[in-house]
Amino acid sequence: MQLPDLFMTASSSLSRNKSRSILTILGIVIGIAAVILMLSIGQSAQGLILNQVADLGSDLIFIEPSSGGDSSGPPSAFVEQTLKIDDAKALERSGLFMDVSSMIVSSMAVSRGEESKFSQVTGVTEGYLSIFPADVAEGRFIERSDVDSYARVAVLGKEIAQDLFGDQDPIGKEIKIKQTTVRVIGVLAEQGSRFFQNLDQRIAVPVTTAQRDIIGLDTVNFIAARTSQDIESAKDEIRWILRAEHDIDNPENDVKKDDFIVSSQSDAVEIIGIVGGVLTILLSSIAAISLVVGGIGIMNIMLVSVTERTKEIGLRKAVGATYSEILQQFLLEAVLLTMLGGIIGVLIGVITSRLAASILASYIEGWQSIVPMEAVVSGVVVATTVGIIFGLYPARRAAHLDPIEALRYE
Amino acid sequence: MSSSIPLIDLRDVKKQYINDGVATTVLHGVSFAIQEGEFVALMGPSGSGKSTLMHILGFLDRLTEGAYFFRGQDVSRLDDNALTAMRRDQVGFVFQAFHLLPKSSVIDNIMLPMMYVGVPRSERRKKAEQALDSVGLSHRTDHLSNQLSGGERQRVAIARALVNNPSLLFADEPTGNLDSKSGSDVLQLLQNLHTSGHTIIMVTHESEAAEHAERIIRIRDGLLVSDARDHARRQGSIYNK
Repeated sequence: MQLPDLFMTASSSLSRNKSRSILTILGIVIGIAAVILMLSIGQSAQGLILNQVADLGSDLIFIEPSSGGDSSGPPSAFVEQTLKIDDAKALERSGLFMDVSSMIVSSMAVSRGEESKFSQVTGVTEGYLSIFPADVAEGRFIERSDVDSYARVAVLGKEIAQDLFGDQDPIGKEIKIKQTTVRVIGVLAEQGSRFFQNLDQRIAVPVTTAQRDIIGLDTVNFIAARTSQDIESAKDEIRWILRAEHDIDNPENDVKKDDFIVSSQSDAVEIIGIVGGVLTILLSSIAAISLVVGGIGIMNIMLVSVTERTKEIGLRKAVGATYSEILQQFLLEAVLLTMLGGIIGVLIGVITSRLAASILASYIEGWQSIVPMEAVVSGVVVATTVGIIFGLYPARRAAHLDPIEALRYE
Repeated sequence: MSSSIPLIDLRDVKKQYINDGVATTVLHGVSFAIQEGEFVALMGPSGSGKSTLMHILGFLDRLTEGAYFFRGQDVSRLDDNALTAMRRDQVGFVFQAFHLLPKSSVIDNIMLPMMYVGVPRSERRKKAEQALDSVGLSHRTDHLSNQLSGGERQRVAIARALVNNPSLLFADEPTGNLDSKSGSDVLQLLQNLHTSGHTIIMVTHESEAAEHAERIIRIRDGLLVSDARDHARRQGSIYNK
């Protein structure tokens, strides 16, 4: 039997049962489409975060407090706050870093007259804008003298400025953060959101003012620095400086003994990569399950088909079809079904991914549609493999039929 | 003619089935020879073993004991693939229930056996049309097989059986599902094929149908009970007519 004959025979039997063929492959179609959609959304989200990380620059280093132990745990509310403004000053003095900024963050009530809002109040230094770039729309940003003099001034995000002042010019006006009155000296241009936080709802005040007058702590939540050096050696430099500041005896450079963590953007990228990898494994296992279920469906229908077409098989054997010719015909029918299912599933998956991306893009700034090519290719390949695996048993059943019995079958 | 090697030479053929450990003997030792060009009717009541005999003759089944020579070649110990090849290259089957593929066209049905023989695609249609013409159904070429009458279906089945030019044509109760008019048309067609040189073995339990053959072999309880040729039958015919 020649190959074109095999294809013609298999495809014509499938087209004779169109609606059944379509229903049969539905499981495969949905499975493949769902996986492509989920992978696309997952990778787009990952891409979005990676882009935001990249926007901040790869030369950025963060220092956070830590109670020691594993460096990759979730941030804990009970971590002892160990970082001080003096630590940032020590880093500055070393001359190894272009910009250093210490920050303290707290959510609290902000009011102007009767108008009251909750806002994330961020205590910053004059270096903040070189760490997290933003444009000043009106007035000016916090300066060194503001930090040194515990100035009661604030720079508003665009939305919080609008919420509190409407169309009025906020510059020079006073607002209350908790009980402390501060004067607005500037408004930042629109920034959108980063890591799913709305930056336009934030209020920046000098870190010293925030510590002493607003939050009432002498620690900071984190210190950020930029370096022109090699990142890993800069991280080591920071560790040695801070160990000296904190009187930590750690000559063996064991980061678990430190009361702080030093991490760079590349560490964040690595973590995001790990999260993405776990997500991919998870989705792949769901895909595997759905494809097994789909494959069982194919096997089921192929078995029904073999039973229904017992006479046809008997006739084909009587006119000289060999075992392997019957096997190939039924195997090819199953493979054509699943391959078609894979192709349709990929098409639907790509279309819905694009649709989902265009919807998400209107809500989340910077969302881009990513359709993973490897998922598209492997979708079709895996579906075809499912056809071979689950088509083999029914095809063998067909090929093993005894022609006499098959012709007599009613 | 008797001096040449017979097309079929059965020697003491026995067939035993084993079902659930119980052996049933269907053929108890049957011997006969059929020459090329003969038209033989194989008769017997149901359960006589005539179908089993036809299956063995048609390479659909194997004998348990004895020997089967086809053109002098011992075929009793062939494996599955070799038997398939014999079916494909040497015989054509016509069944009581026609066994046409219902949703396929007449021409596609006739072309089916050529696919397994490996006739080039370009030649298939022409050969199928010739076969269809020889059974007088050229005007039905592109009809679906389930749009035909019973008699027409059987003629299509005969065209399909002939399309690869087999050495031997088997007809298993070819008139069993037909009214008498279509039945006699089909028998007439078989007789014409015989006249034009085809070897035909027809299994039937209808004496009228068997009358069209030139030789009648009767089987009962797995044994050959009579083997009568045309002239002998006509001479001593007190039952017939």
